[in-house]
Parts: sequence; C-alpha cells; structure tokens
Amino acid sequence: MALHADQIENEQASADLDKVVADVLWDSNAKRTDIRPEELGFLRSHALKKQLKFLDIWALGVGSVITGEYFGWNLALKNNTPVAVLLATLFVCFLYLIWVLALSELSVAMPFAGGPQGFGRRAFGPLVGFIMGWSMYLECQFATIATALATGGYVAFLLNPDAPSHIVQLIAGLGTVLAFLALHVMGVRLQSKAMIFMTYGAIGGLFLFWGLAATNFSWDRIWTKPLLPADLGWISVLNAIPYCLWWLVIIETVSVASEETQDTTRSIPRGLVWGQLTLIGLIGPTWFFACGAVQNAQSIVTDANGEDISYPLSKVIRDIPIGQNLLLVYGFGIIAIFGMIASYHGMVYGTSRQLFALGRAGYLPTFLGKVHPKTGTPNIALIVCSIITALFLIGNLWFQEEINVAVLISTFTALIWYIMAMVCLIVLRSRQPGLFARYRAPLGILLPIMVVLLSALAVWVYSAIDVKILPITAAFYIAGVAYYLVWAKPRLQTAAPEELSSRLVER
Amino acid sequence: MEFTMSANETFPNQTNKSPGIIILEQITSLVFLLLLAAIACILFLSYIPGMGHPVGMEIEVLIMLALLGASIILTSLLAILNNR
Repeated sequence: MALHADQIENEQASADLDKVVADVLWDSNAKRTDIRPEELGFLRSHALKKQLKFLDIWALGVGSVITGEYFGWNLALKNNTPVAVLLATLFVCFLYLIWVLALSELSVAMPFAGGPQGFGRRAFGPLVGFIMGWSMYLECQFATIATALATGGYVAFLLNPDAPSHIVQLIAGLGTVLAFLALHVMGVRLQSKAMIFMTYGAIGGLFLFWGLAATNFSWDRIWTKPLLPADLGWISVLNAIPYCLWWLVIIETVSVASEETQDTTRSIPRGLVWGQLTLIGLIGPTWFFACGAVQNAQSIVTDANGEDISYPLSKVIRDIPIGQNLLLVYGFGIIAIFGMIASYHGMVYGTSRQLFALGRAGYLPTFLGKVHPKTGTPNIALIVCSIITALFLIGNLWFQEEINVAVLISTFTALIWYIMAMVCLIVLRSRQPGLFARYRAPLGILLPIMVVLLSALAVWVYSAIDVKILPITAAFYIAGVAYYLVWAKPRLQTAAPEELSSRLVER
Repeated sequence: MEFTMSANETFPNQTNKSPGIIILEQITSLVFLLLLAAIACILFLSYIPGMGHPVGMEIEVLIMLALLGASIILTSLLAILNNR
C-alpha cells in the first residue's frame, strides 16, 4: 500500500516536472533534447507542484489584498477630505484594473515562480531581472511586515479598546507569523483551502461593517464643503495616492503562482480579473460607510497620542452609537482579524515564492531556492522571510512609525516594477510576439502605456510625502544590486526555469 | 503540448475580434485619452500659481469622477469579455 502511494506521488511529481519543462520549452521555442541532463535534474528537484485552480487564484488575489480595506488607506485621510480620498481611490482602482490585464499577459507567457524576475531576465538580461525580482520581494516583505503589525494592532485594540498595548500587538503579531509559517510549510493545497475560507470570512467582515456603519451614516460627512481642502486643492488628491495604493497593492502575488497553477492560460487571467473586480466592489462601500459614519474623519487617522491607527474600521464602530454595545465591537474585531490574516497568508506566499525564485536562480543565496521533497514547498525561503518579519515586528517597539513606512516602501517598490514590467511587455511583444499567443490583453499598446504613465505619476507624488522613505528604499536597492554584482552575477543557476527559457532563446 | 505555436513565431493578428468589442475598445481608448488630458489639466492648475479653477472646483471634481468611473466601467467590461 505504501509502495503504491509512493508510486502515485512519484508519478505526480513527474507530471508536474513535465509541465514545467513543457512551459520552458514552449517559452523558448526549444526541443526537449536541447535541455541538458543536469538541467533536467535541477528542474526535477526545484520545480513546484501544480495544484492551484481558478478559485484558488481568485482567493489568493482577493485574500492577499483585502487587508487594504481594513487598514492603511485611512492614513490618506490625514488633513484631507473624503472626496479627495475617493478621487485618489478611483485613480488607484483604474491603475490596478489595467495593471492586472497587462500582468495576465506576462504571467501566462512566462508562468514561473520568479514572476517579474523572469519578465526582466527575458527582456533585458539578468541585472534587470534581478532588480525587478528584488523590487517585488521588497514590496511583499514590507507588506507582510505592515500586515503583521496591523493584525497585532487589531488584537491589541480588541483586548483594550481605550489604550491598545504595544506588547500585546507584538505578541499577537509574532503569533501570526509562527502560525502561518507552520500552515505554509504543510503544503500549498492545504494553505490554499485555508485561504479560500479566510477570504470568505474577510468579505463577510466587510459586509458586517457596512451594516453597522450605515446606522450612523450622514451624506454631509462625505460631500463636504469645500470638497477638497481649500489650501491644497488637487494636490490633496495626489497626496492621498500613496496610501490609497494600499487598497489594492499585492494583487500581483498571483503572478508568482503561475508555476503552481493548472491551466495557466485560463485560470490566471480569470482569477486576476475577477479578483480585481471583487476588490473594487468591496472598496467603494468601505470608503463610503467609513467616511460617512464618523463625525470627523480625522478620528480614524491618528489616536489620542498622535500615533497612526491600524484598526480604523473597529475604531469607526467604537465611535458610533451602535458601538456602545461592546459585543458588536468585539464581534467585528474578531471577524476583522480574518481580513488581516487572509492577507498576511497571501503575502507570505508572495514573499516566500519570490525569495525562493531569486535563490533558485542564484540571484540570492542558493539555499533559499530549495524545495521540500515531500510537500513541494520552499520551506527555507518561508522560514527566512518569517524571521525577517519577526525582527521588524520587534523593531516596532522602538520605531512607532514603522507601519506607515512599511506601507509606503511596499507601494513604492511595487510601482517601480510595474513600470519596468510594462516596458518589458512592450519590448517582448515587439521582439517575440509569439510568446503571447496563449493570452493577449485588450487595448493593445495603450494598456501598458497607461500603466506606465499612471504609475510614473504615482511615483512622482512620493516626493511630496512627509515620511522620508526614498533614502531607505534606495539603500535596499543599493544593497541588493551590490550583492548581485559582487557575488551573484558569476554564480547564476542556468537551469532555473526563468534562466533556462531565456538562455535557450539566446543559444 | 496544448499550444502548437512557438514563442518566436509572429503573433496571430487580432482580426477575429467581434465588431462590438472593437467598438468598445475604441470608446475605451477615447475615454482613456480624455482622462489623461484631464489629469494633465489638473497638474497644470495645481502647480502653476494663480491659475485658480476655471470651471469651479465642484464641476472639476464631478468631471474627474465621471471620467475615472467611466474608465473603470469600460475597462471592466472589456476585461470580462476578454476572459469569457
């Protein structure tokens, strides 16, 4: 019986490998005989299992992002009006809608765990591939840190709504890190089932919030006079954009799931688009009821001590008459944690897969690119990214602005690789048009150009942001590129799928 | 292999799109260009001192809301049709 189970497992592993090899061959217009035996051996021990379907992809997209509805966006309201935040929100929704369409085309064309690393490698060579992969890693890692902090924040608020404790926040955050590390290590299928369950819970939490907040809604609190702050005018809308990006950032986690997805051509585009539309449908009412329920929108930006609030929806309920019933406050707080952990779950997935892919290709230490022989999960990458998150959580005890900085670094690094990915798309469509035969996004060249223009505008807005994130982000890029140039460049692993498909084209 | 076309072949043209989708793409493109023009105007008004608000702040906000809303709705329609 045990022998039979082993045979089934081996056959499954072989089928997964064949699909990855088939993707590499199709991608590079090569024959199976073009792959050397040692390269095939490397793929055999480093390919991820193909287990995800459309519903898993939808849940990964929605679940990873839904934390954006629960916190982060509220910081856009600082000295700002609800209408300014609405305009910035619609700008961001539009940017992400066109972005996921273009990303679908790239992800179907190059269905490997490296995602952006593969796009950059294919279009412009290893250095650009590394910078894009590194950008996505930074994006996911800082999003993970912010979400772990916010999860702790919600728990701390739940235990003591009047004065949430930083120690409780830390302990709850570390508990989240440990629990999800354990879940991810058990295998992608199990964690995906958990993701679907948590995503439904998180959506249910938002419905509950709308219902509760509607009891104290007033239109006058949204359609204020003046509509935009009198001293800043339209600049207030621009200032809100970096925080509003948090509504939707990280949906690109789906692009690194391509290697683990069955029927990539249909599942990835449909999962991304329906995930995006679901999120847009959730964002509108959340903004509407949160801003319309509280007397003063500034009350969900900072607390009495002037610290940024990481639990705005719970704060809304606490501040309105229905919140006098503590059962409702606690009930919602518990459900809200679904939103936090669903996203944390998806972000750990994205961070670990990007770290794994960079390690597998030799851009980062190669031990990060190892796969567990039984579960087919990148356990070392999972452990490393969880340790980094835990260290930043502890650092929050001394650096209270960490959540704000983490949100901004995550969104800023995301914009950098969005622009680079669109340039890759334009170049590859021109150089290797057949690469995109499996799936083509609508609107032709206008689609990537719009993404570039809107992302560039959002990047430019960062220069006006008060928090000094630009030097910190620059330091991360300098460190990464220095490591690549000094150590990794001569040691790249030619058999990694992203590398192999590019090299087969060049051979 | 599910796909017979290799990556280095020429991409098959998009002529098999239905006329309805082609018209929808053209309308969407037009709205995108209008949106870009509106954003450019707003940046111009914001950063050039003394420009004020030629049509009034409320009208400007309504125009921008309409353009952003139309862009999102049209793109959503195209995305759904493209992924049937």
